Amino acid sequence: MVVDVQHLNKAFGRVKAVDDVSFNIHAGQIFGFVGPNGAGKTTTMRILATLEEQDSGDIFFDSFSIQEDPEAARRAIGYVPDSLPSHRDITVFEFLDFFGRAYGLRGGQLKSAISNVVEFTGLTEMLNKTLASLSKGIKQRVSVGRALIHNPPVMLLDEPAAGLDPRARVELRELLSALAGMNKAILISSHILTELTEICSGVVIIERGRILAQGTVSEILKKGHSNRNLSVSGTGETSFLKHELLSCPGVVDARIEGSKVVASIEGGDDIQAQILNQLVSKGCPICQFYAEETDLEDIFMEITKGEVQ
Amino acid sequence: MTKSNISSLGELLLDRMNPVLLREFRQLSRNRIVFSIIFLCLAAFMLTSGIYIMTAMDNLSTGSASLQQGKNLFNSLATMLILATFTFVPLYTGIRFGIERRKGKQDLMYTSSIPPWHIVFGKTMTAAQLTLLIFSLALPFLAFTYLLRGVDLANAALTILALFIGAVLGAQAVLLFMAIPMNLVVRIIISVLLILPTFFSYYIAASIVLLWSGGAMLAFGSPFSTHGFIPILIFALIIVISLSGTLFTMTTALIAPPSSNRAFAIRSYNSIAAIVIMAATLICLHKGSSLDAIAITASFLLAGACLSLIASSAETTTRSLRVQRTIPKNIFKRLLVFPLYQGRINGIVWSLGWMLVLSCIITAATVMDGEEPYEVASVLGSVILYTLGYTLVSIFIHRKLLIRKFKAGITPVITGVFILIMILAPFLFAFFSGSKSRIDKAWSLFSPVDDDYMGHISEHLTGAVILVVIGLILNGVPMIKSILSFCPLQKTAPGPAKVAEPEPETEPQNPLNCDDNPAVPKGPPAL
Repeated sequence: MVVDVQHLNKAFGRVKAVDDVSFNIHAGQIFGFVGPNGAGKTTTMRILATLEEQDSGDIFFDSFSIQEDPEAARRAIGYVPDSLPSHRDITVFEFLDFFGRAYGLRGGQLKSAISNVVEFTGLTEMLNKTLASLSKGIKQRVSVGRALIHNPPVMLLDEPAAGLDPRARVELRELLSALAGMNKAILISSHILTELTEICSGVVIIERGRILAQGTVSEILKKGHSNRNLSVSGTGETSFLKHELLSCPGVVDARIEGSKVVASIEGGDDIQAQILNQLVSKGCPICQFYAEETDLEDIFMEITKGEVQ
Repeated sequence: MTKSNISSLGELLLDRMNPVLLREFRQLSRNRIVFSIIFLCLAAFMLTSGIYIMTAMDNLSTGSASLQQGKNLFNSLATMLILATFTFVPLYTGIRFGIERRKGKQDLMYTSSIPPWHIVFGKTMTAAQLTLLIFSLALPFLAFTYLLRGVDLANAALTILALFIGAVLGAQAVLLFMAIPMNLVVRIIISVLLILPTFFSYYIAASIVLLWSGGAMLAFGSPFSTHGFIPILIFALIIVISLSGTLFTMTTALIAPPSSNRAFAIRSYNSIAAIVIMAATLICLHKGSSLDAIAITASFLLAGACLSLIASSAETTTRSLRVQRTIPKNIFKRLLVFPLYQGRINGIVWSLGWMLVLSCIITAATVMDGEEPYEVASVLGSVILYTLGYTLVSIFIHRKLLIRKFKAGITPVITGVFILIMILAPFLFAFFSGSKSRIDKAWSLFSPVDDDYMGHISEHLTGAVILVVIGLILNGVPMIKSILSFCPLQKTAPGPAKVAEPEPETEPQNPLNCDDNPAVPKGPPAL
């Protein structure tokens, strides 16, 4: 299934929470939805989950629209909100059973759906425990299980890794990869960008309700960071090294960071080779020379301003 | 019957059950507050009964036994039942519903494919079940009162039935308030302040009347008392079902997606309910009751239509594509269904239509009873015009001054404040000017409250007409635009952009697949 978000707009009073947002996700893809707090991620997610209604624009699931047929959209979506279920008076089994029934599953279908979800999320031992007694990681698994109970082709996860310990995060990541393997389209919003880089096939960066960048992770990394950072250290004076670096072709800026000099360069590997050549020819005693890896976090910091509405 | 048969029967019953009701039952069985209330009720019933029995035995030994002991105990138990069911049941179901509906933290059942009416039905049934549970605790004690004498079984049964219906209606009213999109604390306060005391006082009065008048028929008044009890019961049940249905459809509409035609169910249901109530009244009339019954019933319905007109101003005029697609292309059909669609003007037209019909019925009934037709028609006309005038001016105030800060839902509140100001204005003028002449000329300030309303009827009529004309002038253009916009969708909605989907190399395995899962759409539904 293809989820096609077209020119989505939503305002709360004078504040534009979502401003002309358009993107699409294919089946089997995990799409990261990145942005600072108040960027409009949760509002977009809530519109997708039919909890809010857009002011204009539309969302299409293959060929039907969320505005035209919100009921069909609900059947196509599994939504995992940022808050975890914590009812004191309901067990994991009853929770899953209720949502199975809410999606129209009955009898053998319901039983099989619950057992499949329980097995997939590893909740077999927890079935008779009340939700309030579970750890955050287990609650998150229950939440994912609930969203999967009707086997939706699209999954929306709002900050699913927030507050989870490293082990629970790894487990969640594995769970998401497995879901993508089942050909589900997954949209996940998260602040933990390093994790997104590892599992996401595409990224949408949003700030103040507007999309700043979108594409595959490699595309974003390429587009977002025009300058690459070159880390150089030698046995001589760092100030001399900095001075020599600034005179090299393609070097835009250079700064001293401890015992090394970090130069910002414009261009690719050929410029990097030229710089190394020039430094050696000028007699600089180089012992380390490498281009720093750019990750999603760098791109995010570079293109967002951290502004909230 | 074998164990497996019983088990499969149980599963079949669970599958037939409303999922919300099933969840509520499960939660109810673990809720500490529910258990505490149940034990508290049981203790109170036992203690009260014990005290009465001891008093009765004491009286018996002293030779001063009273024949009213049973009645007294029944009354005490009924009061406790009212306290428990009229406060706890509506608040329990209402607050839970309100918390689930809290903005930003909505319960996930609202993202499932469960229809809104299933949710409201489940909640209402939970209230009924909880009320039944508390009543079942009291029933042995209530039955015991019969042995103490002084209790008429028919009256006792009727009182219990009335209390049960009242508690469920109270819970429905609180559910309606909790569905209104405003601050949860405000909703709870309004529920407690307005709804519960109203029901509470009404039912205390009703139970006292029923028990002490010596018969249910007397309690319902003279027009019915001589013609049998069954028509009264049927009439009362029709009223209860109508009220319950109205509360149900309104709550459902409030939790339905904004892109749906929320007004359709409410207006259709209330139109049918009003026809049934009027038909029932006519049957009562045929059986010999007074013409007053028709006038009274129609007046109540007219009051409802006035409230509906004010409430219509809260509706949004934008219609989703989904709603636009259902508008008929045929102009006559379109005119016919116009009042049943969501929108300010649509609501006003529907309410005005009913107001006119009911006014004609009231006028006809009172004229047949010997009243002057002009007087009745003038009073009704001025009431209708005042309501319409205040509403139209309030719509203008919202549209021009408050639209940036408040949604359309605030308009009925503006109307309420406006009416209050108009009522108080003559008194304030009189207070500040030191003259009482303003109070005498309340009509000159569009005030609907006048100590000599009939004496100033022509002035009131003129004032109300002026108010309506002002309202129409102020809202003329948007009203015409709204009427003209009520047409079927001309163009098809833009389809999804063609996106090249990457072909998966192999068919991925999905362990969550269950055969013929009805929850998952098989293909794109036809638009």
